[in-house]
Amino acid sequence: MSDQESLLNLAADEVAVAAFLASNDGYLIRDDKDAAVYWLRMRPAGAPSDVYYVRMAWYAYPHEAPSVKFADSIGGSSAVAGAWPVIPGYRSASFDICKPITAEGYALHAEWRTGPDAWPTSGNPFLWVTEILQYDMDNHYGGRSS
Amino acid sequence: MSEANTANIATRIITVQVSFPVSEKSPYRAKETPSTTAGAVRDAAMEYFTVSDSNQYTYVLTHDGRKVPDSETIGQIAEDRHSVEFRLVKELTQG
Repeated sequence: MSDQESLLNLAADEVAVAAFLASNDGYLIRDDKDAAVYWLRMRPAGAPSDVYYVRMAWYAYPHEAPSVKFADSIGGSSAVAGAWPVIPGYRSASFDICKPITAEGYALHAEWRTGPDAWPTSGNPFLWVTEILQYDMDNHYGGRSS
Repeated sequence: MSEANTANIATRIITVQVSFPVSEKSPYRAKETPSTTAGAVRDAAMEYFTVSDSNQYTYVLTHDGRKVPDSETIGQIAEDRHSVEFRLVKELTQG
């Protein structure tokens, strides 16, 4: 569960994220039990019938990267390989994204915590992560994991 | 193409805007001619936002979700519109 400041910051930044997702035929829902968790419905531009659900859990926003997992539905399990897209760095076997945009990535690579890969805390990092996920889906999508 | 059309294309101005979420700055804006390349806009936007490429990642311009090649011109992207909006996205190669 996040602190009240994080929740207020998320509420301010989610507006731009919702607008961005809507322009890409997606949407987001704030979890009804944990307000620091968002569920994003996304689809690759090149395969619009392939629908994906992203669970994005924030801890101290905007100071820390979120946990990012793909789930089989909104509110569903994130431990289903078929819920994950095939994209370089998106690891359906270990259910994580090994890139310097997620809590899982920073946990695996401590060297990313400083320097040019450090987590950005200015502007709207929520939108930044979402744009990268959509970019990867639109430009590096290799189908659904099995 | 007539001389008038050629002159019209040469003098046409297209407003470009590049947004980058993790910056305190407002979006990068400029007025460009149709022959300006996306690469030139990308370079100018990166300088404005004070970011640079590395061997681990590059910054790319996207338009309607599509990665825009540096060689593409603003005129090709804008077609008959007077403005074009891009997003600057960090393309990460780690993983």
